[in-house]
Amino acid sequence: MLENLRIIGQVNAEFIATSLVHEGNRYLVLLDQHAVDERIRLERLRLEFGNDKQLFKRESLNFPIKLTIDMTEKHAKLVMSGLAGIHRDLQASGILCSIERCAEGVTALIREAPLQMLRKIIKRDSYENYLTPVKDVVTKTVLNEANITDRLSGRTMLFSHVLATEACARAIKFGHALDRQAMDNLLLGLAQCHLPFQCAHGRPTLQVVHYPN
Amino acid sequence: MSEPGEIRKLDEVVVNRIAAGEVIQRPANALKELLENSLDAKSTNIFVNLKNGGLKLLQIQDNGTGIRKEDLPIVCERFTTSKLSKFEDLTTISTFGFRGEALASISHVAHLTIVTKTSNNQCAFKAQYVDGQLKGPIKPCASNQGTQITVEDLFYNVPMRSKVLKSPTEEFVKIANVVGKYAIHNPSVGFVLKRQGETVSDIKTNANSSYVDNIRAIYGDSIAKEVFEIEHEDDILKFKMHGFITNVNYSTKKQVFILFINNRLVDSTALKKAVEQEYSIHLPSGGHPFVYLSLTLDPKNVDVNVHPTKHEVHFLHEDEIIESARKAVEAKLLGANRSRVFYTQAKLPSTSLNIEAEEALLQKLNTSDRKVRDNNLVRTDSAVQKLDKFFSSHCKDAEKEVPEKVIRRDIKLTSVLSMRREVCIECSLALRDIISDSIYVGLADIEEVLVQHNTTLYMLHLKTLKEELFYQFMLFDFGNFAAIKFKNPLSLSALIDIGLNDPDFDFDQIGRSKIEIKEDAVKRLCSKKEMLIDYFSIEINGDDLCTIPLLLENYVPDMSRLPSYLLHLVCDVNWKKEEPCFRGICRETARFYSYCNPNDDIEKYRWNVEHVLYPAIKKHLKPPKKLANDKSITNLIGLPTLYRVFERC
Repeated sequence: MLENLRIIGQVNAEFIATSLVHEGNRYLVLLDQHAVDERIRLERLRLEFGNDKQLFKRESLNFPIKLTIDMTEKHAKLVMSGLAGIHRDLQASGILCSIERCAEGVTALIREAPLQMLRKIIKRDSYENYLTPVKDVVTKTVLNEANITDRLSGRTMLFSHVLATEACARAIKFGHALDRQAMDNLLLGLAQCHLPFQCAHGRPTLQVVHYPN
Repeated sequence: MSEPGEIRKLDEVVVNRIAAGEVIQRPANALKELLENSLDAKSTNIFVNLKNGGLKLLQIQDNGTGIRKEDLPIVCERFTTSKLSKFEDLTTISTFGFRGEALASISHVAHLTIVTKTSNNQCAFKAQYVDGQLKGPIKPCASNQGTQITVEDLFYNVPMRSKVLKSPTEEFVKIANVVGKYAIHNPSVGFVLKRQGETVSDIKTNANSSYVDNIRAIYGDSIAKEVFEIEHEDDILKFKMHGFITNVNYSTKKQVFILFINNRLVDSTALKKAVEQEYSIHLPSGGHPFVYLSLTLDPKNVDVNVHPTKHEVHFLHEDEIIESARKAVEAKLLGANRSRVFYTQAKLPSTSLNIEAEEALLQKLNTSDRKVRDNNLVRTDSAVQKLDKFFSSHCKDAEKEVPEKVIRRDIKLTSVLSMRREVCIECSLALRDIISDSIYVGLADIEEVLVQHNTTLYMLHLKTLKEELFYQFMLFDFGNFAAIKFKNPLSLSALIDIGLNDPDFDFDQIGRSKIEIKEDAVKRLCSKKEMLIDYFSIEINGDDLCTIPLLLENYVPDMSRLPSYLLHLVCDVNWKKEEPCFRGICRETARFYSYCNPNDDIEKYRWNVEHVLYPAIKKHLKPPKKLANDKSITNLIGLPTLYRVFERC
């Protein structure tokens, strides 16, 4: 299907409008330029780094990071009773940390993380920035145990999260004018993706509108 | 119909080993037990009837094997069952029931009546129970093959429990949930769930339907058309998995996870979490899949007796099996996405435009947003004046380009003025507003243009707009055209010849030969040459055509249509009366100029539309109201709708 899209033009510097004829019906297919670019970048990153097992090696942090996660006492109790599960999930993501009760809720002291992976994928400078995804994942996993968020932590959660964030950060934004060549390239790239219909965060990349002949 | 199993008392040891707490916690539990009994009895149709969410009445009628008359006295005692006789049997359980507790438990907390008929008996028998014991004698009665179990006044003797149970509606939802899940898992069995007093059943599936049919019947079409079948077998772990799961393009706020292990409806938090994780990478946050999975494990690896309601099961190699299942789901999600792409995508909500909506929209534009203009619309005179001004500005451009025509003639012909007025009256201000304020997006098809106005996308049918534009140019520039001059004048008779031999030209001048038509045509054109050059800049010199009018700067019509244009001029225009004559010439010329040759170089054409034609349409066209109705202008979708679809990261 994606190979058959013919570019009409860019709408509002946000969407790529394309037309499609299928079985005698005509469709206007609108692609979210940011989501499309994000998906392409995500799959490229995954291809580039996904098979490098060395990358996921856990390394000690020079300066352990302390994280305070606010929650009610009830939730904190839930967390403490589910510590085994939290550690298992985090270790699957290459994170080692210790979790303790505190007045605000719980504190997590992050000791180990797959630093190589973070450094290789995240193209930013400061140490703090490299560790942001790690903190996100720890927070999410803990909150998930306390049943506060509905997002589940996955065994490849940190990797997925890092890739998605990175793909998003570098993808074309709304408001960016595209010439025909750039639109062509985006469509070509999308056609090669495994999951071309959602962006790195699972939102759709395109919308089909049927219009009468 | 197979023989009913013999029911016997369980050995005391077994009784003690099977530690079961409360079996019946709410009507849905009771129903689940009874449903499983019916399925164990190989029923093909199961009918469930409810009153007050099952609290007042819970009745289940099946067409299974029935219960032997001899067994009726003990059927409601604890630990009687036809499915298990010694503890070792627990390891090979393939039936649902096995503890012999369901009916006993129910009879302790409700009025229980059983009507049953086996294939060996002439008639059915009816028995009533209290606290596990028969109440009164067993009476013969009339009934169909199978068993009907009636549970009335559930928890009548447990006031605490009946207080705890929430509203009948909630109990009903839970029951419907159980029935629906069993219906999906057992497509060969027909299920009906009905509330007493209602004429329509809440759930109805046919015997021998398909899985997808039942998913559609119970969870709706939107899920049914997004699911695909998953099958997986692991020889090492000795398990099979079959099911239906939604693809990654589908997500819903409400999670549905149906799990059957060895045909038993169960929960497995670990498996559910693993599958959800797999989806969480692909679905937007807060989105959930629909998942129905049926696992067949080696019965001896499953401990079904963990929970009194048999809801939670444990099994051997749990982590490995879950990982294997997760991988199967992962492979399916990644692999299946491309193969059914189109089907899924085409079914996305589409905004196909209906004319009434469009009219209403224009009406709204005219009445609410455009109050000021609305007033103008009533005073047609002021509108005319505005349009005159508008066209004088256009004329200024023309003067610049064509310096020899310094003075613009003021045309006072009544016919022309009245045709101009007609155009102005017909002009829709709402459409005018859309077009004049539009942003060109691109060419969607050879004759379709996508434009954006405010936050809405419109598809414009170029052909009608072009013809209308050129027609209006003809009227408003009447007598003031610049000309397109042929380098070498073209012979009229040669042109007409080509036109007559063009298979596209419909030759309906019956009774006249081509020669006659040709001679007439040349004569007619030559006789009108003063008028043609004066009003339309069509110059005829002797027998040759020298110029045609220039309607739009940088725009030259497709010359392959010139012969047929001339023929149309001669044959289809009424030359006798002034107004029809001008109208005809203007109309035919507009058609000629709006023709687009599909064999033209597309890139050049695209440029032309974007930089010559569309700007002219945007600037000058007074769109007649009829365009809103003949699909020349179609409202496709609004940007706010798109923002809702795409959200932001």
